Amino acid sequence: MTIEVSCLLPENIEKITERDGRPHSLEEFDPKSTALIVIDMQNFYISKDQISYCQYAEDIVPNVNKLANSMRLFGGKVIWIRNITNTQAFKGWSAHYGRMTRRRISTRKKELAKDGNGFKLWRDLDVRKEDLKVNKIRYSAFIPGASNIEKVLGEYGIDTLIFCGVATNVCVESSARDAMMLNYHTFIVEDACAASTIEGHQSALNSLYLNFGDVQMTNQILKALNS
Amino acid sequence: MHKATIKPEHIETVIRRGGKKHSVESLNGSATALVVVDMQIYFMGEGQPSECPVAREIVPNINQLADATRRAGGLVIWIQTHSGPESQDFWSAYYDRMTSENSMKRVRGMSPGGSGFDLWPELDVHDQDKIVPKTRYSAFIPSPSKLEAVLKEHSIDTLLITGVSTCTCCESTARDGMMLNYRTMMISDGCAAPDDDLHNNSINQFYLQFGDVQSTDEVIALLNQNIAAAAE
Repeated sequence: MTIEVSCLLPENIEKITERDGRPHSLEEFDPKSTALIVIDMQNFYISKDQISYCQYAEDIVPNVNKLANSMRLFGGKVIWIRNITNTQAFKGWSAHYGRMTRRRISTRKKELAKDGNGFKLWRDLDVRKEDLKVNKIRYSAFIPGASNIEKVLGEYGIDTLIFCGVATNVCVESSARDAMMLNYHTFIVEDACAASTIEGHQSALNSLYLNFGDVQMTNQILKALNS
Repeated sequence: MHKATIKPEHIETVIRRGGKKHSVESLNGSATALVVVDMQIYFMGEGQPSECPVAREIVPNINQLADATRRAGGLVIWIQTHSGPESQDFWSAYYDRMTSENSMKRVRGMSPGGSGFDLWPELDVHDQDKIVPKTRYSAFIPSPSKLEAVLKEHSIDTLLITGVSTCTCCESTARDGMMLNYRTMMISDGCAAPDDDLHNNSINQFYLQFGDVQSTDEVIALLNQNIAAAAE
């Protein structure tokens, strides 16, 4: 899946232009108070032999790396978010695990454990020493108790977030929705997100664009960083 | 009313992952809350800035669900958005994107006492119900939220989400509720969105990843089992 054209529907662009006076309200930002938030680019979602394999996730790796490089170059932070299923995650989330077969639960617990193969970041990601890693125990990194992301962002004085990763409609969308409601300026990078279906990907991006944040392409973000 | 459908392939996926079509097969009345999101004039009245016409059509279903919830011993919670002038400051990430005219329009309509603030007059609100304010899309953000305090006080563990709009305030409240470990269900014909596609995308995605989706009739049947059990 190589996406070069935006999936934002013309009627939605029209609505936002009417509301905001322009189709993309977040055109300028200060890289020093900005973080690239890369969601769940782990083997569990990218490797073909895993139960939560997302067939489009590997295709976005080059864009994620480009965004990360540019972010570092202009003084922003790159934060790799990883899903983890430890005792704490499991015990406090029966609303999630109650919807899974026992077999699925045991695979998830094994693979997404701290030493599990599924937990590891995908091999082709360009992860640097100066980057940060944050583990989360819910879909959204920002729901109370899910991670220490707000503390980390506070330490670095970050108020603007650029989201990418997998899956667009689940962990990316939930994290971006919550972040925007916690008053972070929120971008979602269309061609640096992937879902298990095109439909799930596109409906999530349109929904995010209408109510939660600005949805842009990798090139638009790179251009804004360069300026 | 929306033509609401869950796609067959999504039902298959949910059965494969969890062994059954509906993760909620029974409701414990006293631990269940009907959460009615933003059924306020601002989102419902003709000519209002955020009018969602279908919201007027779901009122009878919501009133029936509220009645069934009370009779089963559950709690009915009416969520009401407060957007006073201070929200332009604490939620600048939202308001700064809009033209100042649109930002002012929202604050004028959604401030307590504003022209769109009140709950829709045809809603059957009882004294024993709770009216709970929120200031963002999701009733659970920021933390600590008034909603969570009410749910804890009443030992609620299951949420039935209804209201307007499906894909924004209902879905965000439902997603967050599920991640805060409430067993959460969206009511397919108890929520309203600007159009059928937005509504269906939202309930399908929710059903796939977050919680159950059932109709008003299905949920009332589950709630009535409590009354039948009490009568025995």
